[in-house]
Amino acid sequence: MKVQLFRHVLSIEARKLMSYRIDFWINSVLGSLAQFLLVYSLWAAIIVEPGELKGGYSFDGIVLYYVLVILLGRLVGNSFSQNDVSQDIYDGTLSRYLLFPSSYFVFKYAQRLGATTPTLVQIAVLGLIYLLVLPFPKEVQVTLTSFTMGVMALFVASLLFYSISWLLQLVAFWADNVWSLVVMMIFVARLLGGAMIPLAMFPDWSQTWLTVLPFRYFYGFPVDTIMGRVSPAEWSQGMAISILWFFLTMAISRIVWRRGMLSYSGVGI
Amino acid sequence: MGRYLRLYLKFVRFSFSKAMEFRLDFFFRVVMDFFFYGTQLAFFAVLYGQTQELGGWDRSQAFVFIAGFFLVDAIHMTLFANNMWMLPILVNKGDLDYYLMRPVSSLFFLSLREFAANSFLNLVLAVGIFAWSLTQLSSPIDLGGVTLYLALILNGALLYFVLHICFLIPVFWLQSARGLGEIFFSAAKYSERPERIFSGYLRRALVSVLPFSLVASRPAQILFEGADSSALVNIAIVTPLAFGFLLWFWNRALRSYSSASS
Repeated sequence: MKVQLFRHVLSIEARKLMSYRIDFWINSVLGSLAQFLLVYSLWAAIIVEPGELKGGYSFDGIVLYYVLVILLGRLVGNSFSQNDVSQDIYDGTLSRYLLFPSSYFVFKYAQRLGATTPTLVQIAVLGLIYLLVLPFPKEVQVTLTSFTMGVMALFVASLLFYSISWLLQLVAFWADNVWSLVVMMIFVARLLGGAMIPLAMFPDWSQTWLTVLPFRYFYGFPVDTIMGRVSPAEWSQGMAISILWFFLTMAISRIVWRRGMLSYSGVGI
Repeated sequence: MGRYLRLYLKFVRFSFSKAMEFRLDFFFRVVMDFFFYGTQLAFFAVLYGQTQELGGWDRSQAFVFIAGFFLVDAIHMTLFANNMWMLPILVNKGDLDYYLMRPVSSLFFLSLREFAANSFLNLVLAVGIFAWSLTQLSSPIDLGGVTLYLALILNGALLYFVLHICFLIPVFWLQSARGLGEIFFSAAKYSERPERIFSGYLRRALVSVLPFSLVASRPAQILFEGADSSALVNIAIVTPLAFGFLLWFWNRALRSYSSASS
């Protein structure tokens, strides 16, 4: 796919989202505020005395962790409505895309990136509000290096999330409705990815599993990296594991896609 | 009333036939709810690794509370959720006309038309988890307390539905295909946490204007601490008020419905 076409698709998708500006801002601001007050109340109830939690988080540190998960998680993808690929297969719209002079996978990724681009503005605005209103944790040192590493981890997280969700949606070649598969993945990803609770708080016996599974690299890993809690060596290892998962998922997807295309009738419903 | 009951039975029969047409999807949806229950239980298990008590409840009480929420969720998913997902799309596409033309209450038709057969199976699982969680409690609970609790959980399911649809109704003015659904999914998480972890205005709001804490948390509190009259009065006042507000809000929204798609 040409870069120009990629940018064009991305831009169309972003503009489509912005055509409902009020809805976009209301859902985002109030949704984030509701999530924030929930986790703030929860941890304020747990940390009744000053001190550190397992994993070395202070109260301010854990608040920052969740703020970043809430905001940056939107870039990775955590919406339950991510079923565009399976829907295209189900209703036969895929046939149209197959005629396009570009890869369907890349086209859909451009659309997804476009849908998340306006979110960058929200992240900037809500992030600024956080900095103005809440105390920044003393133990957290965000450096240019940790920030750059975090942004790179975030990009890989977005790709990895997309590739796994893509693979699950390809099941639509054989099943009528696979939306629930993606939702299952999100349930598991939110727990084992550190969006519900920081992974450092999980029992020690589970830590190796959490490192090897792909979910950690969706939320917990990029956020911990930005917060300066991941050393360059751990970051390199994490990036290697997540990229490995991406290629593995893509390799399986390639086989599934080929098989699926053989059974695809293009009729839809 | 009889006419509505007969109509509802037809909805259920039709939904079961439809579910059997899409067997794999039926299976996926059953498993999906298993995952939801599993992740919630795991969340509380990890959380109690950090603290002995949350909102005044120990680990076993928290499991009873979350199992109670599973009951509410399973009832909601069985009776209402599929219909709620469709509502903003129907309004956005201008397809609501089909429902408004029917000689029955549009709110009844739109809220109950789809009965989720798969979630009905999950309701059985939720009951199982609830029964298991009761056996884990350190202090015994009498049968009367459990009966009152289950009645309050049914009431909680009604409140949960009212809250859900009230968050979707603004779609009549916003015209988008999702309404305030995203905010609901964030706000609904307040039902999954003990009321006493909240404080100040937020806590007051959660038992009055946005009664998420009355869905499962307050009933659990009544189960553990006995029937406190002020807690029961709170529920008895808020539920009819919330339902009355829904009827008013719905009629107001229908008057703004233009039927034009967007």
